[in-house]
Amino acid sequence: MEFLLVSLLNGLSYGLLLFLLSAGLTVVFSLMGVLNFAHASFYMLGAYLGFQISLWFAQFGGFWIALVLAPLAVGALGMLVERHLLRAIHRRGQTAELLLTFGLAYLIAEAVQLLWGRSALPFHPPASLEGALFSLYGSAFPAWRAFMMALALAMLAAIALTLRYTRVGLIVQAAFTHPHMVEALGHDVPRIFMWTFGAGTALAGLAGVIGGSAFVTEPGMAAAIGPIVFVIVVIGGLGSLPGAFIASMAVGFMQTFAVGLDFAVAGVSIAQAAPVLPFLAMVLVLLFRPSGLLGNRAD
Amino acid sequence: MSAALAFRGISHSFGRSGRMREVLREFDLAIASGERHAVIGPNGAGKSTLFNIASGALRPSAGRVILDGADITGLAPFEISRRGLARSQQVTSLFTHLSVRDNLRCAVLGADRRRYAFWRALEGLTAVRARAEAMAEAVGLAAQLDRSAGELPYAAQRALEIGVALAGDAKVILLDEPTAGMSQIESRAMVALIRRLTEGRTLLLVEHDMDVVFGLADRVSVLAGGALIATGTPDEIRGSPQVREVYPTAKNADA
Amino acid sequence: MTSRRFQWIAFAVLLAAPPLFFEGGFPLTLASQTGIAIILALSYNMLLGQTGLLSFGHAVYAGLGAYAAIHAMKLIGAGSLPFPVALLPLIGAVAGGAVAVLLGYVSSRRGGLTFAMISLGIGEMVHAAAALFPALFGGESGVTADRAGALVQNVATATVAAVSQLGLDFSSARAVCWLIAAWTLASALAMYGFTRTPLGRLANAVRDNPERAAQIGVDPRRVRWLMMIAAGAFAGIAGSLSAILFEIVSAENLGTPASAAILIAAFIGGTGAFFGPVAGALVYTLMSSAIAAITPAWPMYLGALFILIVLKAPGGLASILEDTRLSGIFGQLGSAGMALTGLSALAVLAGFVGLVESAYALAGSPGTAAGWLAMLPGGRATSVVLSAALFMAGREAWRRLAARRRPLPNAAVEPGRAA
Repeated sequence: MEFLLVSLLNGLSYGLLLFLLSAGLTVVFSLMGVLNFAHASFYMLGAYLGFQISLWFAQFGGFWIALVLAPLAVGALGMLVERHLLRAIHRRGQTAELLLTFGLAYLIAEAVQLLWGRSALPFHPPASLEGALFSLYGSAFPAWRAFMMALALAMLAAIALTLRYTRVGLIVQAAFTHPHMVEALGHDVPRIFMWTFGAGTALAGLAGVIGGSAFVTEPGMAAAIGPIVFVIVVIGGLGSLPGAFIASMAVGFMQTFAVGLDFAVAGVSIAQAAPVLPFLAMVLVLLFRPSGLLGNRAD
Repeated sequence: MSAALAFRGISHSFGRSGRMREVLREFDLAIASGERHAVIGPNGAGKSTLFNIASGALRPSAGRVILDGADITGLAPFEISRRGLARSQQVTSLFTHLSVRDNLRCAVLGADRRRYAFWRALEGLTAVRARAEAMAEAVGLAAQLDRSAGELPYAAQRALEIGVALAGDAKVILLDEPTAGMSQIESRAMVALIRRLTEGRTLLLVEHDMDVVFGLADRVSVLAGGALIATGTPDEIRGSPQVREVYPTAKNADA
Repeated sequence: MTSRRFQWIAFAVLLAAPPLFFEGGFPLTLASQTGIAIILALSYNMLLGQTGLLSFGHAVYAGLGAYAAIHAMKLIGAGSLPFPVALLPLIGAVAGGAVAVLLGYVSSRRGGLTFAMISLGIGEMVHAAAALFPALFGGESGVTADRAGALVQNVATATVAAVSQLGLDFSSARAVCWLIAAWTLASALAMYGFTRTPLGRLANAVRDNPERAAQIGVDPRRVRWLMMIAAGAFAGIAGSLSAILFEIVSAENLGTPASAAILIAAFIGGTGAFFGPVAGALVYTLMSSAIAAITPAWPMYLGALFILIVLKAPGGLASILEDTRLSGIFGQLGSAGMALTGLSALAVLAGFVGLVESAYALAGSPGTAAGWLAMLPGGRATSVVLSAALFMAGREAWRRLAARRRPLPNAAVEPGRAA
């Protein structure tokens, strides 16, 4: 019972973090058609900048300042990338954009090692969140986990509301499907794309501050979580936000539960097999639903 | 006379439940072997949907498509193509980086058992090459065999589009607005070309240009709001008041 | 026709030269690695360039082929498998192809971005799964085998003795380099032949326009699948050769970084021309060995080169050469202009290198190259200022020259682009 509840909460918080990442990726993809291979790299940058900023502003409640500034910095960087790199090749299509962001991911990984070294950084949640929020059957549920979940939910609600109840979502989407029409209506389409991409990367940066402090901040973090986020997007169906949500939660639970399980199937322990599970799930889903759970976008 | 291609009670809707839009409703049509049949109708009447259903790009919500007596509903596009139904696209759709020769050669290969062969040289299949070049000759592209399809001028791309549809020697040909965007002269040449190349085959044609429709078709069907409202010879259709009501341009064309 | 023949002769000569003129050491290792990289890049191009499939998991096929080969080599060495070591790549080819039969079933339904994402997921899955079966994949340390021991089993002991009397050694670096050169030439010829078959051409059709391909009777999925199997088999050959060369295979050989390296090499070289990936493989091995020996910043240069190619020359180095040959770039500039253009490019490069090296030195990981810079009078500060000046001046000169030259004839063909 205790294992179940603790795992449930851990799975939920990990799943929400994954959704924060996959939502940014999905929103950028469905609004502007760019599949950003470097999305996890912006997540990593968020973590590193978050660490750096909270160090600089240590006397003034560094973490909280980092929580605001790091995503903004990452978003600004994303805007620069859109303005100076992606824009030039947008008309060459999605594969070119994927290749460009792949190259970018490669460079960011190298730059991070150059600037901060190869070992993990001591980036932790602030002391005010270190304590236990409540205890369940004797095991404490850390306050920062609750905070992380609340923040993720708030951000996601904000995205959903923006897209659904303001004209922003409508205009951005139309800018992708009918760029000339939107331009004729007086909107600056390139600028819309720049802000959209910036918003997506800022979201990744925010996830980075949270994830980096909660788990680990090291040069391999992008390469570790990136493929999982992409797998989530494939499982959920490329471009589907609800699909990404279901898949994020499923993967979050799957991995936390598997790590805690103590038995073996065919000589392989389930706990050890945890890293394989998301990918195995992807293969299984694809066998039965080639477009993913909620996907209908053929490409 | 048995039908080469028949639609039986085809209905189709787009959209998710709650906001469904019915594009085709209980559509029935049989096209006799060797017949040249044109489908006309205002924009949004469901003509393109009909083609997509026939060629397997869409699966109808209800009804069946019968090709030469066999049910082909729900088969994959490549299976339908192998059973002898070929189509052209309204928006030019070619293998842009391949040469004219290779575009046609692929179309010939697609209907050939050796299509996936990797143990023999493409150049060694002389019959395939000869047929591709003959088709290039027929559509007037013999001088452009080595140019890549993407570089061709528009009219030449349209001609190649028709050539790719016909190169596989299908018995039933679906042409989606073959003269779209063409000048009067180009359009006339295209009609002559289609007439010549579809000799002895079954042709189903979607077209807006009434000159083309009345110049080519043995029979004409009028589609409006997803339903078939009239079928008959060009003269009958021209004379039908019901047709004029939904599709005023039908009367503008003079024979 | 003759130019094509000339290219092949030049290719064969390049492959044969290192083992002909060197007896061992760095040149032979480099040549051997290059040969393997060439097969990998060419096999990768069967997917990206020819079928339009952008894969992030090609190392899976090479790596599993390598595992098959190293296990076979162990068995041969133990005397329980009578099989010639020189033909081990055949085992790797069968393994790589068989793996592609399985994985291709899952991933060949879609092209485009979906394929790319699935290939990444599958690559990660295989890599992570390898850790679960240490008996097969050797865990952290990998699987090792001894090629000399295996070779001894191949021939009668008397022959071995006689051969070593003649001063020849089957297991020497030189012999292995010959073996790799031969397999590289044979594989390249086979892959070239493949492009000129019905399947090869239909792969191009599926790359350009899968919907239209289906309308003419071609099953895009079947074509993708068959191309994946063929590419997997050739990757398996490359993997086996690396097993023979290094006598060790570990899970690293399966991972995404290994796959990324193949993608980068093939794309830098150019996916639109048959020999493009060969050039890319050459550049990649040079950077990861020779350049890596003098600077830790080599991945930065590689990444920058990759992005530059994506942005400015999507047809890769091959298309740059081709455009230059067609005189699109230098045509109106004359020889002085040509020299100036070359100089300005060199200045940009030198400035960029100077800046990157200074950055690495400042960050505490200077390479040999940074050491050379530090020898300038005034030390690091001079080198930074000088580099920045060179970079900016070169860029300005390049821009002015570019304004004078004619636009390139046809923009290079974008490989792997969904129609």
